[in-house]
Amino acid sequence: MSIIKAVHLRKRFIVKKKEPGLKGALKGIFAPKKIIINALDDVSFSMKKGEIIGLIGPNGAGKSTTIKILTGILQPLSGEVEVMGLNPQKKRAEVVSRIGVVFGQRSQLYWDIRLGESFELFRRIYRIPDEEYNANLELMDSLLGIRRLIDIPVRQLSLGQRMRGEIVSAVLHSPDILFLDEPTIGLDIQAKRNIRKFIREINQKKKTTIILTTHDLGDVQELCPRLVVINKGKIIEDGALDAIVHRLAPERILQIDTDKVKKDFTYPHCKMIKCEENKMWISFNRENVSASKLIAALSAEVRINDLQVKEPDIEDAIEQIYGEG
Amino acid sequence: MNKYLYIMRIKIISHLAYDIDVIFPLLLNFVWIITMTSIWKYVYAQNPDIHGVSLPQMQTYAIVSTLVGCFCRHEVQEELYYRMRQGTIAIDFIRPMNLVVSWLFEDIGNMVNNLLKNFVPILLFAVIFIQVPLPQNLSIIPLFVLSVLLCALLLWLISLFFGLLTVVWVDFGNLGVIRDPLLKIMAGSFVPLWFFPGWFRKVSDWLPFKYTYQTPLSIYIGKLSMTGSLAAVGIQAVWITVLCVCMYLFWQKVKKRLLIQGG
Amino acid sequence: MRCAVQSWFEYPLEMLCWIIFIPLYSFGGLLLLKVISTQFSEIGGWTFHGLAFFYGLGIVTHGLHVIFFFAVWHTNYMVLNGEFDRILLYPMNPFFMFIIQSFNIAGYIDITPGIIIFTYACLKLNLDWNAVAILKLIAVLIGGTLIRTGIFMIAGAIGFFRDTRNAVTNFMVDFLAYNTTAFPLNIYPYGIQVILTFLIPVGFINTYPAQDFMGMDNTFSIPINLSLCTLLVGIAFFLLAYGFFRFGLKHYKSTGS
Ligand SMILES: Nc1ncnc2c1ncn2[C@@H]1O[C@H](COP(=O)(O)OP(=O)(O)O)[C@@H](O)[C@H]1O
Ligand SMILES: [Mg+2]
Repeated sequence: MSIIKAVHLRKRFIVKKKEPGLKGALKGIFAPKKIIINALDDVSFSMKKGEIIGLIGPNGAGKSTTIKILTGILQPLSGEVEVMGLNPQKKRAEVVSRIGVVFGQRSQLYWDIRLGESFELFRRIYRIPDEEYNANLELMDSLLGIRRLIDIPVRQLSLGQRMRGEIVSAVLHSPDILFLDEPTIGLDIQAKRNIRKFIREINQKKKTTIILTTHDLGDVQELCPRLVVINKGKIIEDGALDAIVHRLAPERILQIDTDKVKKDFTYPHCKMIKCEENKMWISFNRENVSASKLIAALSAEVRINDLQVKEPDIEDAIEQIYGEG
Repeated sequence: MNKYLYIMRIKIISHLAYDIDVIFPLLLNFVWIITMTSIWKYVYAQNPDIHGVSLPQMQTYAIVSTLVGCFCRHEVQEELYYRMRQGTIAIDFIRPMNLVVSWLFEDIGNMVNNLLKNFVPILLFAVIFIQVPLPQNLSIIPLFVLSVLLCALLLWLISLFFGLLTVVWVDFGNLGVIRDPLLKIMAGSFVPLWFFPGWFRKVSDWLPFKYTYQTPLSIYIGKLSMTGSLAAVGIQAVWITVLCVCMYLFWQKVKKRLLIQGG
Repeated sequence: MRCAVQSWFEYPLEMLCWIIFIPLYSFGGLLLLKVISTQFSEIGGWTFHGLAFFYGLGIVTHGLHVIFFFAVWHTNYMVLNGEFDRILLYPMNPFFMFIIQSFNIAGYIDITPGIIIFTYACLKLNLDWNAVAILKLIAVLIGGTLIRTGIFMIAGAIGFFRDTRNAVTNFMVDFLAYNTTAFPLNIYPYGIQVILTFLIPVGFINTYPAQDFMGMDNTFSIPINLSLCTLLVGIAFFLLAYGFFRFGLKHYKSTGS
């Protein structure tokens, strides 16, 4: 049974084009030029309860639009959405009371007053029972150290602290699904690490289903067994992270330090990609070449001082996908 | 219900966040009382009775107008404009609550807040420096209070109307620039409409603005007879009903639009 | 400069809305003066045309102030959300930078109804526009603009010491537009006139210059020519306000994030 199901989603925005200068401004009033943006173009995927997926893609790919449709904020042009068996547009109140949403770029906390006031408000909006509220706050304190921040006005929090506040405010009511749209944007390593730890824990402890969008592949690598890659409104990859990387960037690279390089070294299915004074780089596919045999063949011809095997780079793989899309 | 009351509370606290933001709006109310009563003194120096209203009555009108004005300061229009520009308005839909009701309670919070912060100081200021603003007849006080509450609701609906219009016509910017001069002149909060030329009064009879400030204030100073007062309060109620229905329909349209277009 | 103009064209409909409704405010104020002065003949020796001269002059200096110094209205916001950081990063006098940024074409919308009202009043009053009168007018315009700017600089600089969401600036906007430059100061009790002349010198923006042009007496029988006074007071007050602004800038603390 899938907890989220999106079938053939399309979403189109119509925006008025603004042209420069006075003439453009006048034209904008009387004969506005409209352009159609296909933000989502046939998006389908589904998720099982307790899954974490990483939704990645370049800026403007349609990640936030997907989340807004799944959370009932936007109406799709066509296609079907089911979240916990309900249509989020038709049963908005029911759906939103069982999900949590964080938009990393848009604060949902009250800026001028202490963080705790926002929490207290959400406690009332979602009618959270006292025990559950206290237990959740306790858990959040152990994961994110939130109690120390509760009496500080939101405007005085650092970005990392505020993001912790945003996240806590989204999980106080123990949502079944958590949507995190760029929760690590602009954060330092330590803050990112905290948030990653939190995501992992809440997924394990509460079986919360999580959709995470991010530009930080470290987040994905650490958290998401499954990856959905979206570009220009289309899903172009959907599968296990390892499998995607392996399929797209199957090549590993062997780097050799030697006294004297041999420029014309060859071996079946391998390629010399670079050669310097006393270093050589050879790429090979682990499907059909064994690293040890390659090294044995090499050492017969040159003296190896040092060697290193580089795994395929996830960044490279993603870059390659974006390039194709 | 509880959640809406808490929204009210949050509004009250956020307005107490900065002390300067408490003092200067209060000061502005003092300044207004001085300006209005000074003008009336000047004007009345030549005629003791204008349109059947005496100087003390007119000064009472000015003081009570300031009191009512400090109470009825709503933010729904500015808030909607701000959220529209920031693109955060659609995001508000992820909370399981009625947005219009939550805005109403934010503004009730504002009103309670203004009452707590401003009412007593303004009244004290007026009593010490101008005069005690007594009503013409103590028995009309319940009707006056009812009329002020209706005035507040009417002003809020007008603000909501301009706020929703802002959402639809966001390219036109902050539509407060349309609402404010309309209210400043047509509501009679400063110069009552009986000073204006006949054609102007005829137009204003058919608009809701006059039934905001001028109605409760006229009742208070005894400018309206008992039957006239009852009729005016009745018209206030009619306008509120009409605007409520219109705003409900308008909101359904705006909601649909936001759902399709996003913030 | 070009930058300010461009961002303005980005919202052409907003400009349209302003073009229609900002003059409505100005003419609405004139309507009030008209209503009051025709119902009760004269207010303290002012004819309606005298009032229009006074009122128009006030709006013209407001317009000039908005065209050249609009940014000072936003000091508090910039301080509160940390945007002021950007200003301090430029390798220039921060105040100068601040002013340069604020050139605001929207001010023409504010100034136009002022010019119309002022011109109308001049035509009706049959004033003698000799060279001296023109020089006096220029002195008054410069002085009035500087006084307004000084007031908003002080209002904004308070935000360096105390957190505020523009409360002092908002106060001053209303205070100037509706309470002190919309009605001649001689309607006020004596004590208040003292404050509005010697503490916050708004009287020099339009009340005293208009009295000077009209050949009327002023409350304080100030010995020097009142129009010249406006220029001197304007320069002095501006420098004072600038000093206060610089002093405040030393207290500037950025925001959390
Ligand atoms: N409310 C809107 N109005 C017009 N265009 C929009 C709106 N929201 C998003 N878009 C456009 O839709 C596309 C997808 O945006 P989005 O989902 O925000 O991308 P991202 O993957 O960066 O989150 C972009 O081209 C964006 O400009
Ligand atoms: Mg996004």
